[in-house]
Amino acid sequence: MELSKELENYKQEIDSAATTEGLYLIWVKYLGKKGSISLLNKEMKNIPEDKRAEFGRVIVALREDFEARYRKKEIELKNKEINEKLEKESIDITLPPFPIKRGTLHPLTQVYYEIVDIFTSMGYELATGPEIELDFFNFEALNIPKEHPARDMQDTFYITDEVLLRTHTSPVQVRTMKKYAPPIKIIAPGKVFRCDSDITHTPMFHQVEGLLIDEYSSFADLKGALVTFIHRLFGEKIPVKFRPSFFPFTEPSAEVDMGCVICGGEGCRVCKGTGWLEILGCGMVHPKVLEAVGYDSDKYRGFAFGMGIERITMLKFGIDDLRLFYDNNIGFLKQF
Amino acid sequence: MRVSLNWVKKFLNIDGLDIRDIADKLTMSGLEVESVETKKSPVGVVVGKVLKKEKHPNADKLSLCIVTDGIDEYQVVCGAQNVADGQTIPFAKIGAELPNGMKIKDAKLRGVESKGMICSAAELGLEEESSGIMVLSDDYKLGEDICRYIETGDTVFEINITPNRADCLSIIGVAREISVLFDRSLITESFECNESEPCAEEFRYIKIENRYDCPAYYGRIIKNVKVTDSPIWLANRLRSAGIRPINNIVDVTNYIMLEYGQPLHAFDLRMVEGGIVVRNAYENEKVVTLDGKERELKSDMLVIADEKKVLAIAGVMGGEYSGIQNDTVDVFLECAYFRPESIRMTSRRLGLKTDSSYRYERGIDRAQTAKMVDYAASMISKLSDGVVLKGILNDGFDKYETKKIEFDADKISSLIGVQIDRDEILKILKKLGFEIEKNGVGESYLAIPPSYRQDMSIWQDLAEEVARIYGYDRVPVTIPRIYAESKKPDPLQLKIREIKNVMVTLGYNEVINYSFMAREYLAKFSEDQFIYIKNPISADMDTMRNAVFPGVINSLVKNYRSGFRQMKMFEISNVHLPDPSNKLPVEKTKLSFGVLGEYFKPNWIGRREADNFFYLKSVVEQIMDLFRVKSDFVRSNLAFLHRGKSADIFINGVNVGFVGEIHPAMYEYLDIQDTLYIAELDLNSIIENSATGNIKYRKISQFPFVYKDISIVVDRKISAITLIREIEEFSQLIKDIALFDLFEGDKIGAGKVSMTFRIYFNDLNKTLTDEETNSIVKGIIDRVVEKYGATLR
Repeated sequence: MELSKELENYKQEIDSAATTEGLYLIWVKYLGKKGSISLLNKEMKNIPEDKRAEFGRVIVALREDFEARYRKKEIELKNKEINEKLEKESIDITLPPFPIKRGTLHPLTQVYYEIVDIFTSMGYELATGPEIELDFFNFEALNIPKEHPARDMQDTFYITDEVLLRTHTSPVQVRTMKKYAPPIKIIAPGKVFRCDSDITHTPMFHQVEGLLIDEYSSFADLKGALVTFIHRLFGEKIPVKFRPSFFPFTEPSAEVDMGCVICGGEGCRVCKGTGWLEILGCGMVHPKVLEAVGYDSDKYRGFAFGMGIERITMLKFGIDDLRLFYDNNIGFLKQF
Repeated sequence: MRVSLNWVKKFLNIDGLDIRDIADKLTMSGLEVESVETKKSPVGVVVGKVLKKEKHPNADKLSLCIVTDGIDEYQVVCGAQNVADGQTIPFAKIGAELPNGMKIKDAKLRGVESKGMICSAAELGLEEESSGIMVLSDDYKLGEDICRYIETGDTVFEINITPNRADCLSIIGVAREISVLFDRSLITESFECNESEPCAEEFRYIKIENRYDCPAYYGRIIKNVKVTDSPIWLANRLRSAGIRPINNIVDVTNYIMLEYGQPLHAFDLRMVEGGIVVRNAYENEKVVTLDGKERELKSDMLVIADEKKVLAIAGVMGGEYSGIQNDTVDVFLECAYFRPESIRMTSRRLGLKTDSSYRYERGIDRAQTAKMVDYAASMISKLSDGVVLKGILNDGFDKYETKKIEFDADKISSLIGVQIDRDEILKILKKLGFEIEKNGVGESYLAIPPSYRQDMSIWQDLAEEVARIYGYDRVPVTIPRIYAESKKPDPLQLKIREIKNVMVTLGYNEVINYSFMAREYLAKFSEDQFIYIKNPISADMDTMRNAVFPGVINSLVKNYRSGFRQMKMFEISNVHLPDPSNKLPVEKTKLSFGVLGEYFKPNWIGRREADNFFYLKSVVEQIMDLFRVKSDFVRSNLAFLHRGKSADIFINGVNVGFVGEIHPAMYEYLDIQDTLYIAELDLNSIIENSATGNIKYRKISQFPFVYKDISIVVDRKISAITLIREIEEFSQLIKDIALFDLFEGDKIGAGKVSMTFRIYFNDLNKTLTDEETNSIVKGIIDRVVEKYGATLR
């Protein structure tokens, strides 16, 4: 039996389908319940028995051809449609995002934690103490009696004759030693206050002090601790030198200079042409300090050191005006 | 201190030493040379003589001189008034170069040739300003370089002397230090004084009433002095040290103070009635000091008086009327030792610091006091043609004990951390002027420090001396051994760091304000008592802040004034409150954060939908989450806050802070037009009230979550938290509630608010059915209708 020529039209219809929806209608037209290919099965009873097998094969072949073409076209159209959808939904990904912007830590805080982290990783423990102090802890116990010229080194804010704003973080050392027996190994950062305000002094600033007390530490150990610290903070290549100085609470005492990080030691405005920057004060703890806290100064000894966080921060970030730290200008703060 | 190397040369041969090297070695041994100033010598200036002086033919004020250098004669035009026939003068020949860089060339002045220049002291770099040419001694040989006779060029070190090195507040001290560093011997002087009858005792006496503060007081009388200017060399030395020359008497006292570190004072003998009395001032006794100011004294201050009045504040400053005048004829010269603490106390209390008080309070060399009075007297007599009367006046003196410091060389080595030979240690100490004695058997020694080293008292002091001469740079670098045993870190410090990081993540910029602010400003925010600074830097920094937020507001407003309109800032700081039961105030650590303007910077995505209050509230809750605590928000009564948009924050009934918009009156006071929201949290209180211990794990359900939404309309007075709590507590199966729609408006009636909640249910043991959840929702609705008059939407 001959199949109607019209049956073959599906080829062209599938080819020209433009949407998956349109394509589906073609499926219904041919393979739906009443589709023209589906209806061929009903013809079977009219086919002579000996031809039925062949007719069956023809239908199957037709079906398979339809389905193959259909599926191919379906994938093609789906891809096209997805691509159109993506195209249509595309956004300008360069538009600024929602302004959930990260804030900033004050540069002094950043350096504060950097210093604290170096020392705590070396085994020192963080210690803190009150910012308003008794004269005893700030001066007397540190071998700075009343009417000692060393008091001139630190212009002091007083609350009463006996109570003052601490001029250094050293009272934390005294308080720690009074509370605990040796060995001691602390790092004491915090705010300190001195009655001084000009281009290179703010009446409040930050210090970090360290203290190690045991039975056998030496000045050479002190050098080791501080050289390691400076190298961690500013790099392995920075030269470091120790020169004699004076602090009432240490003996021997030293001032520590490091090679100028601004000019690399060539000499510049920051290092006043010397190639060196003063960065730390330190020394072996004075026996009178040990005695003031009730330690046996024949048995115990140790070292202490202190530094200004502002100065280190200025060097690290190349900040040239100390007062910027306390102006809190948002344009300044946002840089860090 | 300023140290002239020319002056140092008096005590030490420094020939062949490099100046840079001297400065470096001094710095590396503890005398920090902060700057090196070099003053040039004139070149080509010789000793000349004025053979003839005539008037310049064409100029009234100029003269025409014939000058010889002993070989040739030169015609020179001179402008000085004091030039005269026969004078020996410094003559700059053609080609000479003066210290100020001026080169002498052939010149024609008003039509007359001039071949050279007659120099003034200023032109030779000897003084700042001269009134005429310099006239030299006729003993100088003509034609010789002027520098052979007069000290011209110089190098001055500015040295930072630490408070312990009182011995180096003098030229001799620095010379001594250089002599040790370079192994050169020090030239020592002896002082003799030509005395004449009669005895000084016949004129005045000395009486010390307070021996504790004045252990030794010596005096000499010099009669018939002529008060004039000091010779140039002397004036020049004073200038090199930064001291203005006054007259030949006063200058000698300053000169010796600079040279030997011994302050001296010269009185006009006329003003000393009867005798010198060293006593304490009477309470409120007054004296006018040399600087012309009247000083009121206290009874613990030491004065130099006579029988009737105060002549000087001991060791600090002389009185105006008792000092040397131009017509002074007889001089009483004081050379004393005062107890350092006494001088310092007086100087500090009077706010009067002088070169003299500076040295006395650091401790002068007691051993030389008696010698210095002779040195000064003989020098004054030489320079002023005066006569020194016989005998040193005094009232006896307290012997001072020489210290003996016991030490063990091995201990010194061990403290420094490097094995230094015992002999080297002993050698260093001896070079520094210590006498060393053996202390019995074994390694123990005694060191007797020289009289000028009053800072030496324990063996650790000796260790520093050894180390600094041995060289700090030669001490090896070793790593300390640190005990691993450690203490528990302070939870507050750990939290502070966490909070700072959270605040940064939330978009806040950290600020740091001074802990002291203006009293009136702080009082705008608090009626509590404050802690005041007795000696503030200025009135706007005289009060310790009792809260952090005034600082944060200050920072926001300051930036607002510079034009910034949208900012988020935070600060964590300690604040201080008076504690009547303690000497020290209460110190608390607080966090404050504030927002000025819109919460988010202008953007294309969304307008601000809600009041800023709710953004800040979410920050508060995030901080609370760090401490694992839940907080309650209760309408705040704080006067500086907007009553309707602020809350006090509570944990378990304890107030730990506030959050809210500032009060309209504050906007006016701060003069800002954009909104300002501020919050503060007391971190100590939060820690005290937060849970400790580990988090306990709770089993999680394997069955799905389901949710139901309910919308109700209630009176506006019913707060959201009341409804949320009511729902939360209704059933164990309710795991979470979200308020996701909120509106007010005419549609639902005035004074009403509509809220839509999404309620999440979950059961540990089974999947919940619709019937189960519906019955709970029905229960909730019945409850809120009954209890809060809610209606269903």
